[in-house]
Amino acid sequence: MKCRDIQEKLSAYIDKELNPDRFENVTQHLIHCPECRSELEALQKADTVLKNVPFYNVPAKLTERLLQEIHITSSSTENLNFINLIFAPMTKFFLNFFTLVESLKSFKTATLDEFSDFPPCSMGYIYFNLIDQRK
Amino acid sequence: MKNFSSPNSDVELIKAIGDGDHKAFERLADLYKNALYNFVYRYIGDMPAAEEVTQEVFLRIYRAAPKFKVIENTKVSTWIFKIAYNLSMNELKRRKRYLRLLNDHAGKKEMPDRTQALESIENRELMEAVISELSLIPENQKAALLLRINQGLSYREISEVLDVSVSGVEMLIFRARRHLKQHINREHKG
Repeated sequence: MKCRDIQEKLSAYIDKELNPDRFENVTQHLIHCPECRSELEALQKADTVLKNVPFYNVPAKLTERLLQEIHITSSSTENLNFINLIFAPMTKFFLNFFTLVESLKSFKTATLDEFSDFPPCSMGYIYFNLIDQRK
Repeated sequence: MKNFSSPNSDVELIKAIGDGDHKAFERLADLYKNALYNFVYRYIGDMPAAEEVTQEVFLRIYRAAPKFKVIENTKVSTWIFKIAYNLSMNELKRRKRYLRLLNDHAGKKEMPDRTQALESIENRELMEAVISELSLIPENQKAALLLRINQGLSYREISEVLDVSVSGVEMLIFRARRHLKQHINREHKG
């Protein structure tokens, strides 16, 4: 492999993410190539600089704020669940009730239409005749 | 740097959080808060914003915990860092838009919280120099490098966080390292 190819693999070499064969190839190349060794050292130095950036502890107030938020979130969810607990069965009841009433309405109308052959001069006969005239 | 709990205990914690266990949430927060905060800070380069984003990450975890599904070969830590990465990316975009509007303030760099500031001036200068240099690296390269160097994630885990292939991660980290190396060379020559 050429130096250019090796140098492109140096980053993965540092991270031990190369397959064993490739890792061995790079190692062998580094033994004999001062230029690539120097490149490796430069990359490792960049890592060291980044690692030396201090690691901060999260401010205590953030943890407190977070726990407060969680309590607010969970209590609002619980309230929502309570509301759902009451309203869901009520909604279901009324929905079923109105469906039933509607179906009864249509049932009555259908029955009246079927009884249109009333005897002459009866109230039913007169009523349906009047309706027919209006139509 | 990687000192998270075992994958199984993380899954148990998330399940417990999903069942409304606040103690489990506190435990998870203790495990991840510093790692997340430092990742977000290095990525965004601003401490108050890093605090906000870290808090939002935990709120998202809390809300998503009841729906969390265990996927084979996927760690909870990867899922958590994915949330952190996405929120940090959004925050950075939002800040860029805002800074464009406030051109007058573009030259002013926000300083870290004084109470958090380092005792040593040299360390502070180094930190600011590195954070400032990191801000010049393309965002996906920066995220990949930080997840590798500071959090110790494997290339496969990083690929899940960033939604890129493993070979893509290799290239991102290689370019980010090369960028930092060039910066260090410039500093030495200067």
